Amino acid sequence: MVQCLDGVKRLCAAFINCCDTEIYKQPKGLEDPEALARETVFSVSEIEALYELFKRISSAVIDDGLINKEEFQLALFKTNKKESLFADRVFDLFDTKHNGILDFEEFARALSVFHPNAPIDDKIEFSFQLYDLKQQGFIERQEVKQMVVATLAESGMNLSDDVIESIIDKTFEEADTKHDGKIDKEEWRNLVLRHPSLLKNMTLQYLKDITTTFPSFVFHSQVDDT
Amino acid sequence: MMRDPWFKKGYKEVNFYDEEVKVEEFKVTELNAFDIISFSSGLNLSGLFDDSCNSSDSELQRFVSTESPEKIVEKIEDFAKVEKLKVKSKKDWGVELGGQSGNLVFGVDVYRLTEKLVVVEAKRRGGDTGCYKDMWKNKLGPQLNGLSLSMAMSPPPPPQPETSQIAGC
Repeated sequence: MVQCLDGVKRLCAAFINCCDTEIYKQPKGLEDPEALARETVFSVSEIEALYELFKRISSAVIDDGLINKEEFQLALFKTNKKESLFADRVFDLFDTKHNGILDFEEFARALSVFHPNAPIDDKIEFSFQLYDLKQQGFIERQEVKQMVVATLAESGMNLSDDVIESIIDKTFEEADTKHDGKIDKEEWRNLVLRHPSLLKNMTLQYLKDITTTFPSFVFHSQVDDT
Repeated sequence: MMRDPWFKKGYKEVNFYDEEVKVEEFKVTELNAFDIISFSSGLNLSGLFDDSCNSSDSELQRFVSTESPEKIVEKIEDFAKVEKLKVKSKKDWGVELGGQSGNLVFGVDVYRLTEKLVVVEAKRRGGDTGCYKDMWKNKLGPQLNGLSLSMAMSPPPPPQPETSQIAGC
């Protein structure tokens, strides 16, 4: 009988501990939109609208105010069953704190690069890091091949290995001006300035209209939204 | 004579020795490895904002063909005539088609991949996904994709009469 009570006591203690941690896991919320607006290309209302989007994405699987990898995939592909080398890279680049989850700050700062008004150098930098799979500071031929093969597999386009190799040869011939078998930042920059369409994924027109797509009903009396 | 201002009006100098444009070959955009990579849907973050289910848009969006860009554009124009679609614009190896009721706009572009291969890419630019699915995914896409296999296969069945067309495209 005593043992039974003991067990019940322990059970209750466990429950209480559980509840306690739940309380402390509160999301940060939109703490300082003005600060984020200063450090990104977004205006304060755009930050607020972005926060509405963030809330929607981050509550899809676990409602904890944070976006995990699964929620990110869900938002991108409308299914969490799709694995993608590139989505993983994008997620990793967004995750500047390297803790496997995205908080709103990381989300906003990363998306700022995709705004039509963001400086092109930021886009060039982001895309370079995206393709630098091993993060060695240069894009190797093997990395390019890996990415091409992954993309082709995903799209159902069939190309023979010979054809793939010849396309990569052609690309390196043009891009690798130092002829060292890798594409460094400077070579990437030159390539992209010659072929601006290579950066097309780095701009999201949707970000320009975000305040109308995700209206937020927060009122700021002092905000000057120029 | 060339220096005379009258002559200069509207005169555009033609550079016969322009290295960029081969005189024998039409100006098709050439794709490099990074162009291919940028086709990846994982790199397209617009899904974050676009709530609509994208699967019908992304299916058969691109395929590789051994046909020439000229032949492909010709086929598209023939298709437009049969299906009564408007050719809204035509540029270097790209055609934009519009449905009669204005409920569909989509573009088909052709890019050169290698000497022998091109990539055909379709993109819905406006209107109904149902119309797009009917026109591209069910009809034009397979027809164009089948072009490169046309030697092996019998020609595709003739397009069905009006009744198959989704009303209001």
